Amino acid sequence: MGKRIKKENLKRLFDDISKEYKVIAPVKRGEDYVLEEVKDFSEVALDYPTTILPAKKFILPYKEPIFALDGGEFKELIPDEKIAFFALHMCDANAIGRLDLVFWNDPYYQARREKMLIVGISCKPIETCFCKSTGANVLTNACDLFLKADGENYIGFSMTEKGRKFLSQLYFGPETVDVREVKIDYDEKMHLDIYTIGRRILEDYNNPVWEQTAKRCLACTNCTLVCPLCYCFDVIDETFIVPNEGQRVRCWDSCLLLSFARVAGGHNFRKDLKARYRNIYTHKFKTFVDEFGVPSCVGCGRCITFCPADIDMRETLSKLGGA
Amino acid sequence: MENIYKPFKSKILKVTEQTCDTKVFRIEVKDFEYSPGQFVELSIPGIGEAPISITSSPHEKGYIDLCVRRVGTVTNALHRMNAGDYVWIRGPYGVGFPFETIKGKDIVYVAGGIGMAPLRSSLNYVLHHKKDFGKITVLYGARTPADLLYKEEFDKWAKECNFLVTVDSDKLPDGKPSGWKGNIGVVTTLFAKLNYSIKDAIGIVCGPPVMYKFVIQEFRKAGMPDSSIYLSLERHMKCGVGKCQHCQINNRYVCLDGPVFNYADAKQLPESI
Ligand SMILES: Cc1cc2nc3c(=O)[nH]c(=O)nc-3n(C[C@H](O)[C@H](O)[C@H](O)COP(=O)(O)OP(=O)(O)OC[C@H]3O[C@@H](n4cnc5c(N)ncnc54)[C@H](O)[C@@H]3O)c2cc1C
Ligand code: SF4
Ligand code: SF4
Ligand code: FES
Repeated sequence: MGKRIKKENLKRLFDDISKEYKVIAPVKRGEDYVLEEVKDFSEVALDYPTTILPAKKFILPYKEPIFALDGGEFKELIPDEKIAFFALHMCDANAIGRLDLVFWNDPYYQARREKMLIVGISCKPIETCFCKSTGANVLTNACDLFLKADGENYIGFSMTEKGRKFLSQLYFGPETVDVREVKIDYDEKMHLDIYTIGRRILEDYNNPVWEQTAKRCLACTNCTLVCPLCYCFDVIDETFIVPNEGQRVRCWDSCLLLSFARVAGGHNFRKDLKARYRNIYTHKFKTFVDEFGVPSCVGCGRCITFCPADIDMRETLSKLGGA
Repeated sequence: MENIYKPFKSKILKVTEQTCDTKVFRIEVKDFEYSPGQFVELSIPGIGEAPISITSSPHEKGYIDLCVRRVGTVTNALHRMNAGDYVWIRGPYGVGFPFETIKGKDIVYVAGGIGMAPLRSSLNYVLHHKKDFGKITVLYGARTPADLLYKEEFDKWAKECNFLVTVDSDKLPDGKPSGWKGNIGVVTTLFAKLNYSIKDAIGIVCGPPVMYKFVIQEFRKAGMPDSSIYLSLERHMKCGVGKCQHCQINNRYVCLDGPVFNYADAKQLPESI
């Protein structure tokens, strides 16, 4: 059941949320859109193609202190923030839902996640989108509240108690709208049978597509940086000038980097870029599916947009069959 | 929520020098249950964290031994520490050797270099429960006589099992002769010295990455089925708990599903060895 909200009333919803949460929303910066903290509703972009970085930059920050090294002791640094994402696209909200599967027992992730509010919004799929192929085009309870476009206005849906609290406010409704399923439906430029392809990766391990694509790949790691579901990390101890003081930080890493699988003695289990490039796909479409039943890709298309070598993940996948 | 990354403080009880680059650190632990083949994450605040196998056997209580080769940041810092200093530990992690499945069987251990560390835990455990197992053989290879670990236990092992040692070269690291009278050659040359059939034995292997292929060839030549071979694999690790992705081999995690793998499974897994 949904409840209507007039476009001009979104400001009241936003202001209500702002009272309780630090609100992160898409805003226009130059030609691009980015997610950042927004205090004034007028800055929010309701209609945008996609943001450069996904919500990951706030949930698993690029560099996060996890312990203070205080006089040689490890002191936990559990984050204490109440974040609301406002106007997140379905794919990005579902990406958080999939990260939840990995980090269910990670105290840093959960400290943020438990207090978090996610408000999703309808999008207009662009050329690089393939969320349908990845099953991330359907509303799930990763969104607490979802705003489905309805002409000029919106219909709100609450998926959790946290969302219901806002949906019951008077700027929604009063009458309810009967909608069975909320999903983003469109003709994908290339539809992929992701699960079949995922199985094929190990069966057809030496498919020429890996060699061919790795030849073009610059190993710049752009694709893994912008991906809402690339969560590989490194852990580093940093010391300050004072002895015995410092911090242990967790920071983004990329399995495309040469050092990622190197061990002492210099042996590297994925020395060739071909092996490292393939590893992105094995993890996303095979390992993650085996572990959690869904791919660790929501088809947001960022890796396609930001690849300087014009590598299109969909093309790589389609060469494995099952397109 | 319990913090899966938080190590606990433990005292170094004793440090024994093994070779010029390897020392054994005895570390105090309380109520610490583990099985041979498992490892811990060892932290030194401000320096970092590294995965290290437990080299003592579970029948020894109140402490764990870690046999550590000095190769980088954490291990160098550890080598500068002494009895009475503190390190930080979390674990034990991973799946060790499957004792229930191999009970009653003959065992052939093949260790190369620092690979002796995890195998020693299993070996001493098996020797401690000797009546539960068949004939035990150890094939151990090191670079030079000066690199051999646990020399003080050689006599005991020679008495309690079929213990064969070899070195790649009998020269000392400085090039001088060592007076070594034993076998010379890589560890696989020791297979020729086995005077009984190991067809029905269990093979357990740990060593440098290059070693596995050659040892497996020898086991196969001896008629051992792949499912009787267990490998302890090394990978770069950052978390030890299945999150950071560093240790991933296709759809397996060395930190969770290993480090011990059955070869019948590992051979299905590209990039495993
Ligand atoms: C399950 C498991 C069990 C293990 N058990 C033991 C054990 O019992 N005993 C033991 O001694 N070891 C063991 N290891 C290996 C040990 O964890 C590694 O040697 C670890 O890297 C040591 O940490 P470090 O900080 O001292 O070395 P690091 O500083 O991480 O350096 C390790 C090696 O990588 C090289 N290296 C690092 N960074 C770079 C770079 N940017 N470019 C080129 N080379 C680089 C270094 O030269 C060095 O050779 C085990 C590993 C695993 C996975
Ligand atoms: S792999 Fe590419 S399309 Fe898939 S979620 Fe990551 S960035 Fe988006
Ligand atoms: S963005 Fe493109 S060039 Fe850069 S690492 Fe990814 S696939 Fe390779
Ligand atoms: S060490 Fe991090 S996933 Fe295994």
